[in-house]
Parts: sequence; structure tokens; C-alpha cells
Amino acid sequence: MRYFKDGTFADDPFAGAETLSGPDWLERRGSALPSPLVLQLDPGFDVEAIRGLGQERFGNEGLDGVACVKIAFPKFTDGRGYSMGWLLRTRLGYAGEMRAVGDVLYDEMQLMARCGFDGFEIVDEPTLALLRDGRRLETIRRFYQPGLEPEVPAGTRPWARRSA
Amino acid sequence: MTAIVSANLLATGRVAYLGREGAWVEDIAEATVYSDAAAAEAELAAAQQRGGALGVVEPFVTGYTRADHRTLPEGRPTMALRDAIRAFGPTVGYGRRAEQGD
Amino acid sequence: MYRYDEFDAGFVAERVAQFTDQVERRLAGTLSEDQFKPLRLMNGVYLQLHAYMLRVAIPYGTLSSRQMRCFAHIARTYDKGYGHFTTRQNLQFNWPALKDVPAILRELAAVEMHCIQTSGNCIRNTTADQFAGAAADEIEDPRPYAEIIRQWSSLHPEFSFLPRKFKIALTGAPSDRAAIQVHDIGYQVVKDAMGEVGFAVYVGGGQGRTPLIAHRIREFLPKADLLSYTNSILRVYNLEGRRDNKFKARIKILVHEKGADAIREAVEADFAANHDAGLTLPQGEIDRITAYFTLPDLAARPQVSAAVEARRTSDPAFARFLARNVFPHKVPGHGVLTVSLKPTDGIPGDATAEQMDHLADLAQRYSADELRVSHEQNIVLPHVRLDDLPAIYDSLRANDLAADNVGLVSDIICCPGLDYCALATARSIPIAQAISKRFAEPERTAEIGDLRVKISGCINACGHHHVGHIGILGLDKAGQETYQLTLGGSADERCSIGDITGRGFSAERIVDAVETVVDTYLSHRTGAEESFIDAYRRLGMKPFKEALYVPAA
Ligand code: SF4
Repeated sequence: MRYFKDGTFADDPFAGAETLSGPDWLERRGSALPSPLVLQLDPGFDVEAIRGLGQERFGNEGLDGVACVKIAFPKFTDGRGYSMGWLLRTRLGYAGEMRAVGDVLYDEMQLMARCGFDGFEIVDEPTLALLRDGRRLETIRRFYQPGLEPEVPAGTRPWARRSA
Repeated sequence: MTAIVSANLLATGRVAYLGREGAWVEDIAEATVYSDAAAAEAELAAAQQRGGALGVVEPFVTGYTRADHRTLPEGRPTMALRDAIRAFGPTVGYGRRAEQGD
Repeated sequence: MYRYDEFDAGFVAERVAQFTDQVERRLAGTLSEDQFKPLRLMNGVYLQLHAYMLRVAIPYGTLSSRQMRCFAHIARTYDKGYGHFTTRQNLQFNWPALKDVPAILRELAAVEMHCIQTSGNCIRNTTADQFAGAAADEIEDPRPYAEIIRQWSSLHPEFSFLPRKFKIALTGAPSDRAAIQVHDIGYQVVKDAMGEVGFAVYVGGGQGRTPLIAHRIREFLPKADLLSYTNSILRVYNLEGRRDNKFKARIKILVHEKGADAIREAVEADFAANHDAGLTLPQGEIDRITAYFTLPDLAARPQVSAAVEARRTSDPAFARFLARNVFPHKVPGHGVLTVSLKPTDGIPGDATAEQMDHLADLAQRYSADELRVSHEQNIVLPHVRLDDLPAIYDSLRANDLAADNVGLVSDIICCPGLDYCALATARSIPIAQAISKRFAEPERTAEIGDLRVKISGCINACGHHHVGHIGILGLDKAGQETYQLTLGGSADERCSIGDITGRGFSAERIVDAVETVVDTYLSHRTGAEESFIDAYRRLGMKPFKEALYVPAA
């Protein structure tokens, strides 16, 4: 497994950190939590419930103090992680690292980046080879919907964007 | 029942059969006919082992009897209809007519 | 018609380059078949029985003569000289090689076409009424909105790996010619009490193994919110749709299991929270897109054409053609002409390269350069002068395209079935051919009147059998092709799912069974004005069942 961030392979700043699953984390909130706090959310975990819980129980947005959220793609065809990531970034205002883990493949990485993912754990050998060869994630530079990568409007259609 | 190994060629999609010396052939008449399904499965596994299935997609084993070799739709071989259509082309229309030079 | 601007052309070029690279990596072996399959499907490439199949999107069924000629060229150059128009306003090539697909995509891109999302678990080609923009009964042309959805849904980062495929259809008229109630989302153009135009929203319809009719979850959606609301429906589905069972993964099952009210609440909650997401449509942009779909300049002409009337009285075949194939146009003196791709003994929806070229010529000469494809697998010349009909008719006859059977028993919807399709359980085309031959007598079919026969080669129901007045489903019973018969389905605004008659019929018997059903209808109807579907709704299954399953004497 290699860690890929900001267009290059890097050392994982959270290597060795204890990682809490979503349910574990909810369970242990309010008691002492590991630091840095790293979460792994599996598909099916209701990210919107975080906000509700945060407000009811803690009076703040639920992800304060979280250093890294890993979202799992057990199979690349399970696309729930894209919506989970999108909601974390937009509706919950999460600004820390959001990492895709699991079946992370080259052809999906740009879609992940557009949904707000900024870190990747990669196992697939051909994907690693492409990235080692200097392949960039940005194979498409024109988009027909707003994304969370740096993008600027293209013309007057509000749903059309170009990569910045 | 005797059996054959079939697949589609990766580059063209055309129907192919495991033939002599592990080569993939497009004409069912050139397919190697194995004594039974288990023997065919073993050949397929061996082909996969030595990388001989890289150029094909979705290989499978199916029953086939050489004596039964007739073209559709005139004769109905005892092989599964699906396999017969794969071997001899659509039973209708242009796909067939094109082959008959009509 | 919509024309690509630089941005659109650049986008398609990038997509073609991306897919070309994916094909190269697959051929080189660095992408496995498991990794490649979802990628190729997302660009319309299937592996069928004999070869790859390439499905080209014809957005909302509208195309120019130049685009039709490109199909003919591709059919000749990369295929066996023909193509198949489908129930989802797509064109399928049956024989392309994977290694040729990049070249085909470049040819298509040159005429502003693509195969993006014509398959796969993503948002598919958005379909619409084939008479859109021309029909006299329309509130507003739905195609600008279909185009906006097409753009927004292309390579959507959040919705490219949905639980299952997702199909959106729009209609602008109260008569539903786009079967919106059997789509994942159906949008119907409506006017509210204030006269403002917007959409009624239907969700959760579909066919396949579990046919379900959509629920109307919103009476009125303002135009500006079209994308925002669609986005919310998709998000709820992406997060909550079942992924444990392929046959339960469509949104219809989610709606069915959770209830339409729960889905409405979830969608409305997301929609309320999402309002700032940059998807609200400014009127200026709606207007800009709408301008592409302006009705061509057709001068009003006399409502009655002397040339047509003269020919009608002297030529009964032409009279039948007029009665069945011509629909009223918005502009007096014009008609919407349907060219039937269902000749006797033909393959429903198939056209040869020569026929495609010929249709392109006719469109250029007589129909403002425009063609349409209907979900009934026919071709439409949307803007013809009535005065030109005799000449068009003669020209169609010369090219085996003058079948005068639109909406009749021989105008059969039929999927490719086991002659081509890797998923099929039985053949469907030979059944359609046999039925068309049994009902080849034009006087008899005219006497029978409106009757929709729809045939699928497996439970996936691409041939819409559930919503056929007469539906036929091909199954494999212990190695034998067996055909299940359903009656009383309907795809229009009075949508219904057909009832199964009982045990299935062999390939030899199914055509007799259809004839028995038709004869039973004829002997029970109150008169020629009572159509098959109305008679069935009045009579129910009983008389048909009695006629079909006569106890052995
Ligand atoms: S209904 Fe079945 S046989 Fe027919 S095209 Fe669809 S998947 Fe293939």
C-alpha cells in the first residue's frame, strides 16, 4: 500500500495512529479519544447523523477535533463513499484530510477528488505504476457540474466548470 | 457428453474456441472436443495458468458433440440454443443474410 | 436542434481520449476485465453473444440528417451494414471490434454524438417524447430540460457508481408518449394554478423482474429547481438504494420498500439543505438552451392539402398510411410523420445503412433536416408539409420503409433477444416476425385498431412487455424456449402493468395464442371504437383465459 497526496507519493502522517470506526467513535465520544483522531467510515454509515449528534450532544459540528476521515471503498463499484465525502465537505463543513481507502483505482481517483477527497491509499499495482509514471488524475478538465476541486465557472452555465 | 471451451476474443469480441495447441480459433469445427466437461475445465484451467486466456474474455465450458454439427436455423443441434447461436450467428435478418451473401 | 459549443466539443474530446486510454490499457492487460467492464459499460460497450455491442446515445431522440448519415457510415465501415434503434432512443451496433471503438467514437464526436452513459450503473441517456416541439397537444417542449439534465449528468462525480442504472424521461404533453411512469424519474411538464410552467415529479417506476408504476412525489417543481431536485433524488438513492441484490437495486425497490412518503421526505430534506449548491437554473440559461430548440420556420399552409386529398381517394394504401403514420403538427398544413421500422417479417427497430441514408435525405429535403427516434423503435420526420406527403410516401415505398402500421398489432416493440443478447433466455425477433406475418393483411390490422404488442427475450424487459397491451416474455424452460403472455399493460398516461394469462406457450404456439386473444377481443368489443385496451379493462382476463386454455375435449 502507498499513500498518495497532492499529486505525489508521500509518507502517511497518520501512520500507526489508532483508527476508530464510525460506530466506535460515536460510542466513545465524550470520553477520552485518541489523538490525533483518525476515523474510518464504511459505506452505509449515516454521515448526516453526525451533525445531528454534534448539535444535540456537544453543541458543535460533530467533526471538530477529527484529524483525518478515511472513507472506505470495499469495491470500487460501491459508490456510496462519493456521497458521504460530498456531504462531509459541504453539509458538515469538514476541512481536515479526507482519504479514500480500499479498492482505489486510477480511473476513479479524479471523481473522488471532485467529491472532496484529498488523500488516497492505493494497493492496485497498475494504478501505482501509472502514478509513478507521472500520470495526473485530471484526465477531464471540463465539468458539467460543480465539484470540490479547484474549479472556475466556464461561461454562463452555472453547472459548467473548468478546472482552475 | 463431450465438451468444448469457448470465450470471446478480447480485441474483437468474436466467438472463439480452444483449439489445437492451446490456440483460440473462431470456427467451431476447429475446436478441440474434450471427452467431458471435467476434461475441458482442466484444459481451460491449464490455459489460464500459462497465460493462454489473456486474449479472451469470459471463457466457459459447454457441452458439444461433433456429430451434431449443423447450422441454424435449419437443423437444431442438441447443444444449447445459446451456444448454437454463438457458433452459427443470429437466426434472423441481416446478421445471417450477410453471411449468406444475400 | 442543440449544437455543441466549444466547451461541449472539448468535453466529448476529453472523454474520447480518456476512454481510448482505457481501451489501450485493457488491451495491454494492465486493466483486468473486472476493472474494465464497468468502465466500458459507462461508455456503451457491451460484450454480447457474437461480438461487442456499441450503444450510441440519441439524446431525447433528436438527430440531424448529418448524424444519421454518420450512423450509416459507421454501419458500413465498422459493422455489417445495419444498426438497431432501441426503446431508449439509442442506436446499437452489433459487430464492432473493441480496438475500433476509439475510431468510431471520434467519428461520432465529429457530428456531436457520443456513447457516454448509455450503459452502466449511472444516469443513462435522458429520453423524451419523440414528437416534442412539434406536437399540437404539447404544453412546452421538454427537450431543453432533457439537454440540461444530459449535461449535468455527464461524468457526474457523485453519481457514477450508483446501485444500479438510472433512467430519466420527460414529456411535455398530457399524452405521455415517453412512458415516464415506468422510469426511475419521470418529469411531466405541467402548468400550476397561476399559469406558471414546471414539472410534476414521478419517482420509482420501472420494468424488469419487478414492474412498478412510479409515484408522483411532487405536484409542481419550478423549472429553476430541476437540477437541484434531481440531484437530491439521486443522492438519496445513491446512499440508500440496496446494493446487496442486483435485482433489488433499482430506485423502484427503495420506493416500494420504504414507501413513497418516506422517499419524498428524504428528498425534500436534502433539497432544502442543498439549495445553495450552485444548481439553481437562471432563467437566462434556460432561455439560451431553449433557443436551440426553436421550431423551424414553417409558414402556415392550408389545413387541407389538395394533393393529399386527391391521392387519398384514389389510393387506399396511401389512405391507410395517412391514417396511421401522420400526427397533427403545431403549424397548420404540416404533419409529424412516423416511418415504421416494422415491415412484415422485418426485425423491429433495425435499419440498413442504405435506409439510414435514405431517411437522412428525406429529412434534409422535407423535414427541416431533423429526425426523431421513438421509444417504439420507429423513426419520425417531425416537420413535413402535408403537400409533400405523396412524394415522401412514394420514396419510402421504394426503400421498404412505407409500412402503414403505426400503433397497430404489427408495430411491435421487440428487444434483440437470444439472437444477439448475452442475457437472453429466449429469442424474441422470430416471434415478432411470425406475428407480423400472421397479421400482414392491412385491412385486418386496421380493423383490429390500436394494439401494442411488446416482446422481451428475458426478465430484464428491454422490450417493455409488462406495458404491452399484449406482452410476451421469452423464457427458458428446461432448454425449451417458452413464452409467457400478459394482457392489459399500458405505457401511456393511464399506465398499467399487464396480467399474466397463465402457463406459457411454445414458440410454435405463441402466435396462435396472440391470434386467439385478438379474435376474442374482436368478438367481445362493443364496436370498432372500443380499443383493445379499453375492452380488456372492461372485460378483465376471464374471456381471454377461457379462449386460450380450452380444456382438452
Ligand atoms: S430483455 Fe433481456 S434479452 Fe432482451 S435485450 Fe434486454 S437483457 Fe437482452
